[in-house]
Amino acid sequence: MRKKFFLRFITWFFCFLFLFNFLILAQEKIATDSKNKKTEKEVEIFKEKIASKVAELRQENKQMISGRIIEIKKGEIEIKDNNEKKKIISVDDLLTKYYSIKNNQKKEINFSDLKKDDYILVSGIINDRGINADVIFVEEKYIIDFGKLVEINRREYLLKVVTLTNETISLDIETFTKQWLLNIKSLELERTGFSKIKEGDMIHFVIKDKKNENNRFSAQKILIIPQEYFLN
Amino acid sequence: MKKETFLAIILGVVFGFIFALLILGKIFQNHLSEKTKSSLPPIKKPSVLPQKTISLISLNILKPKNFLVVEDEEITIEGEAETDSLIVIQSPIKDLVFQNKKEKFKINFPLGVGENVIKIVVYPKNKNLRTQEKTLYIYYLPKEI
Repeated sequence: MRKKFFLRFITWFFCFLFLFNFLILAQEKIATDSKNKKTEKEVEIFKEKIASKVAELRQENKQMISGRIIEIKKGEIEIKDNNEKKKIISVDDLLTKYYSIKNNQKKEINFSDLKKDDYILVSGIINDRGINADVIFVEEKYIIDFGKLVEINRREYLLKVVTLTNETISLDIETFTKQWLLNIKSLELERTGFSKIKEGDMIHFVIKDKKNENNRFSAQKILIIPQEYFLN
Repeated sequence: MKKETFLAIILGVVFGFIFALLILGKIFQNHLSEKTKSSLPPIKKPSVLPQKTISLISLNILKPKNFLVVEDEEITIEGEAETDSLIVIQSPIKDLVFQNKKEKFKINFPLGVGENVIKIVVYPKNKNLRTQEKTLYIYYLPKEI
């Protein structure tokens, strides 16, 4: 009798376990699916992170050097950078590209178009002597500075400016010079003329790093802050 | 049905149910502990609050880094200056003048292809502070180059 009872008990016990096994399997499947989804998401985030890091590193490795050409040799250009240091630009006949930039427009040029005294901007990988050039841009070098107007020559359209470093700069106002005046009430910039400029005003200017025939700088742009602004 | 058979069925189902519950409980526990581990934010150490000093900032450029090479034709300049200073930002392609109502300022500034020399000058409202200036060299290389 007891044996019979035991056999039935065991049979039902295993039957129940067998059925319950499906429930466990289903539960595990749900858990595994959600885990897989989570893993996929994490992999996606990880991929994005790697991609942005690679882009960042590429950006960091892309370095620039600028300066004036002092000598052009075969496969090499020697320049003097903004700190008066000599740098060697290694060029490759096939890989290096050349552009000229004027009025914010770029035009493809050749190695043979480069001249001594050109201001060039070089993009590439820095080495101990200078840089291995990927791209070379020939462009104008601009100087931006400001100071106090100390002298106005109305006959010659000439302004003398003393900068913060006590340097006196002579500026020729040309027909192409863009002249702006700060409206001290609205703080808006307004177009102005030479006649409205006064000694004592602050002047912000943009010039090209080359003197004109009068051995002065031709102003590309000037921005005047009237001295009255500082009296308030 | 005999009494013994009925008892065997009941006991079999009850023990099977208890056994299954134990297994399920174990699985849930494991699952929960994994979830808790991954979703818990990292413990932050209590930080000491920075003491606010009297504002004497004349000019501090927070962004961008100097000599940065970018592929966009616009850049965001972020900085700090004494409140109500007159700020002049000038480059060969754009002139901008404004007064900062808050210490921090943030403006978008256009770039030209190649080297961009951007001069930032601050005339502090406080006349005891000197005019400050910073020059940024930002290189804009369009993607196609």
